[in-house]
Order: sequence, then C-alpha cells, then structure tokens
Amino acid sequence: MSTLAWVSGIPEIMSAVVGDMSGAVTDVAGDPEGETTAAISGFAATSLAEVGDALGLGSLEGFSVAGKDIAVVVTVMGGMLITTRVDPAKPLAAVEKKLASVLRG
Amino acid sequence: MDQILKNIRDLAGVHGSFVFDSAGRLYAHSAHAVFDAGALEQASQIVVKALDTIQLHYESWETMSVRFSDGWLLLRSVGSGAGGAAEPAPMFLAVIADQTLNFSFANVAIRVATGKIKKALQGGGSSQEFGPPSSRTSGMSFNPGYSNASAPQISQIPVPPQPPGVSSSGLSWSGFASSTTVGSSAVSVADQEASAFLSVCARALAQSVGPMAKVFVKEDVRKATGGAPFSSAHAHMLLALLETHIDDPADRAAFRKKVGV
Repeated sequence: MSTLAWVSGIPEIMSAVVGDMSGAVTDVAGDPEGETTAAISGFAATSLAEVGDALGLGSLEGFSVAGKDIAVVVTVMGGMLITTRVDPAKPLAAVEKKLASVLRG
Repeated sequence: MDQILKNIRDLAGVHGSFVFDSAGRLYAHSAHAVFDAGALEQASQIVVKALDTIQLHYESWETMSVRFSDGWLLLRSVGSGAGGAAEPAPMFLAVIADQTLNFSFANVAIRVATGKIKKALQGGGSSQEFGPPSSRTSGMSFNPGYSNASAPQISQIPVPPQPPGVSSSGLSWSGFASSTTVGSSAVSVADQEASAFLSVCARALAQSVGPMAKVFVKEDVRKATGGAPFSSAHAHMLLALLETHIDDPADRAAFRKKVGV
C-alpha cells in the first residue's frame, strides 16, 4: 500500500501531496494545486531545516500550519515530504497523532 | 515587551523567545546565553524565508509549529509593528523549546503572550521598550534593467500555444479570472490578456526555477501592483522582479526572449 493510500485513509485528511525537499511532486490526492503545494512545502522545509541547524535543534521532522480556515501538517519521512491538508474544524493535534501513527508505525 | 518574553521563557522546556519582523530584524528577545542577539537575528532571517513561502499559499496562517529531533520552534503571527513606519511590517513571535515542553500548557501561555504582544504593537510601545530599527527599508529591490520607455506592452507579447502536457503541469492560471480574485493564493488581473501574459511569464520562469515559478509570479505580481488588478502598466516592473529569481545571465536572457522582451 502506498504512503498516499495510507494517509488518505484518515477521515480528517482532505488532501495529500507526496514530494521531496527539492519541491518535486511524486504523488497527489485531492489537491488541484499539488505541484505548487509540493514546491511550497519543499522550499519551507529547506529553510526550516537550516533554522534547526542554526539553533541547534537537530534535524527537521515536520511542521504544521494553522489558521482560521487552514490546517496543514507536513511530515518529513526518509527524504520525502508528505503534505496533508486537514479539516480545520477537527483538532489538529489529534490528527497529527494519527498521521504519526500511520507514517511512523 | 521584555516581561512578556521573559514569562514565556520561564515555561518548563522553553529556552528562549524572540520577536522579529518580516525582514528578519530582531525587535526583542529573552533567551539563554547560548542564543545571543546575533544568532537569533540570523535565525529570524532564515525563518522569514519559510514564512514568506507559507504566506503565499496559506494566507490566513496564524500559527506554525516546527518539530525537530531535539526540540521545537513555535511561530505565531502577532500583527503589524507600529513605530511610525510608512507601512507597518508584519511581526512574528518565535519560541525555542526542547522535547520536555508541555505542548498544551505552552500553547495556552503563548496564546496569552501573543495577545499581549499584539496589544503592545497596536499601542506602539516606547522606543526603548519596543520599536522598529532606525534603518528601515522597504525590503523590495528592483532590477534597473527595465525602464518605462522599454516597458513591454502586453498586447505586443505573443502568447505561444500551450504545449502538450502543460495543463497538468500546475502552471496553468486557473486561479486567475478577470477582475476577480479566486482562491486563497490567487491574484487579480485586469483582463484576459493580462492573465495570458502571466501564464507566459510563469512558463518562461519555470525553465529556470522549476515549480516555484508560479509562486514567484504570484508574489511578484502582488509586489508590482500593490494589490491592484494586474495590467500592462505593471508589466515592466513584474519582469524586473521575476528576473531577480534567475541567477544565470544566459537563463535571464532566455527568459527575456521567451516573454518577448
């Protein structure tokens, strides 16, 4: 079963994009702007990894973005970036736990 | 401001907190000695790159939590700075924490602090306590290679036929519509001709920078128009901005040729 299939099985996940740190997209489900999403995640992740080095926080494992009508979780896994858009009405922390459980086992 | 940041720093697991603006300039900080002002300003400048990118796609973002193997970086949008600048710069709060951070507890404390910082920013604060650096610049740079006299007119620029596969490349301008703004990250255009011109720009730029091209075009359209609908009057400024993303002179020349300059 592909990463995308695993992630898409979580009911709170509205869309998912699998890409890499360079912003290249490898798989998309439910995101009409998948290529842009992957590029944004790749670019942001590269900068954030640099911040982790500068502040001695270690390697980047992921990040989440939240706002009034937005909830996104980006997970770094073996050089891949899995960007998932989450239903903003659902508690983000709970979805992050589910994602970690699915992706990291 | 110092007391607000100190209160955050007093939380278990927190090593420091700092406030910076959209140009990466440090405004205030309270952190353990290892994070001196220089290190925090350097970090701010890198974080801003990530936030600029996030802002393009997720305009309504308010909070960002970044997880590292050895800790956390928590980011909050705290509104705009005051202090007499012509255009107040967006401001951000960052909190550095280790793995022992009680996330739920910290979130509440940071939310309270964010409210206080917003209030302090709206009030302006005293120059000693909180204020913008004296050497404020616009943060925008323009390539002087274009002049008004040589500004290309959109109507003069041929729109090439769409090559096979482009419709699925993510470079089509489905987010554009005449005089309207569609989607959270779209920009508005004055007419279909302007929309077509932006498509040409994005495809040409993609040859050099890849899938970030569309993102750069949207960002630079906003800079060039100041929020107004994009039209031929903004073309020369947009092209000057877009060129700054291309390092290689040959690629830059190819870009100019592709957009018909």
